[in-house]
Amino acid sequence: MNQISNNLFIEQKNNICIVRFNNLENVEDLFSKKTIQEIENLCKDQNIILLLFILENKKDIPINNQLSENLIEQKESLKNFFYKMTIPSVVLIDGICKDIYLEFALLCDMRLCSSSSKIVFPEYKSNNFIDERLFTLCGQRKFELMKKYFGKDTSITDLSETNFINLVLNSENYLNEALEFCNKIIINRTRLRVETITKCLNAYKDYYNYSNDIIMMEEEVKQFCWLVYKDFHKNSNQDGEVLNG
Amino acid sequence: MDNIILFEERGQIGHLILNDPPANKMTKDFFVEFHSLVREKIIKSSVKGIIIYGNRHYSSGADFGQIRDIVMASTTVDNDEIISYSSFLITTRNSLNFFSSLSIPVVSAIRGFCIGSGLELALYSHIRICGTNGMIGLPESTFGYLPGLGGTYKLASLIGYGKGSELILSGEILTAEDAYKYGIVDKVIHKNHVITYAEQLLNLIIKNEPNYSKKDALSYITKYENSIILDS
Repeated sequence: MNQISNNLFIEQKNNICIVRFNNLENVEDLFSKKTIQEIENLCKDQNIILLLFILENKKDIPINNQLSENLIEQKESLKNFFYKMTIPSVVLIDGICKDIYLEFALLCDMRLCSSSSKIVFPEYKSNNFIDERLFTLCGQRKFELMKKYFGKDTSITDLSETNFINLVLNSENYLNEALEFCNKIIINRTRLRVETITKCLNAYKDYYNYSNDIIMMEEEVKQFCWLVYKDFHKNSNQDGEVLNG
Repeated sequence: MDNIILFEERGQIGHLILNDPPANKMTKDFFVEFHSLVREKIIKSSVKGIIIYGNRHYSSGADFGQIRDIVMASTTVDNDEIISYSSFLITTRNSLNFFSSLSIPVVSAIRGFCIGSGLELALYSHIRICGTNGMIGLPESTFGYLPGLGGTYKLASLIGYGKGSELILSGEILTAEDAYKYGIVDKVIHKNHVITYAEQLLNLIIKNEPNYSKKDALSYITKYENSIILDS
């Protein structure tokens, strides 16, 4: 395990890079350039095909919403990092998730929550990052339901019907449960296969605001053809015949 | 290759019937016929609503052996960069997207398998009614591919990026009840009543909703269910 700061640890478990934030005292750790660089370096390893963030926060400490310019810049860098990342990200929430923690959780592709966690959504305001992101995360069919929880402390049970949470972790050993979930997603997948799917989904993140269906779907056709092409040549070279579909 | 798909106008409703048993495998011939049916018949039709269904199964998805051959014949790569790629896929996707862009209601009535490109077709419909025996999913990633006809975008926009990513990456096949829980299908009903339900729902929309909007799909189902309660 690699300790980055007092509250930040990074380790690799098979194909999964685990980044653990533990009761952060300084929220800037969550967005620091050093954190991003460390994760980027780990992702260069082609064996890594999924990022699991663990967000443990047992203290309900009010966070100053007057963010420093430095922190705003760091948040933007982190957002860019997530939007360009070509492997999927999962966040495990344990404890209280609000303010900056919530923003971090929203940047990840999938969310797992321990059953005792609490998520606090701000009041609904259109055109802000949290609401836009919640729309893309919950989809057309569940966003209206999701709006009920704006401005409220929300139990994990209520949220489970909104598609906001992928899985509620009930066992005491929730890390193992989270790893099982991650393995279900990446088992027998190569980095190339995971990357092509993630790039298609990234196009959705990038372009949904412009409602440009064609651009989003063009990326998918391109990635599909690229995957077929690469697989064909890989299998032709190694086995003398193509992979069966 | 005739009659793999039928389009029948019955009153104000157009029935698009996938007619290639046992499971409506989407072959190259299927997509060619689908495209010509859309361009030559459906686009000229004056029906007020469309229902899409198969017989025992909706569709078990594309024939990947054939799709792979088509892609390999038309993809050009230079210096590890893709230069050109299959126009067949784009034409096929545009044929499916035709239903999404219609201003009249389009309902998929799903029984049995609705997987891979079969689900992609259903996702271009405005409303999905599913039988209790429905099997729903995009399993492409489990055999090394990804959905190529708009499935990643359509699923993510319908049920959200979070659950959509999980289902596309895992390739999990869902029961009808789970598909309903996540919002992929809008109603689950006994498999024997799926077509009737979809037809009656369409009739109600045609009769009572002159300002039909696909964004209000769920409210039409509620209105239909309320009308059944009132009738009984």
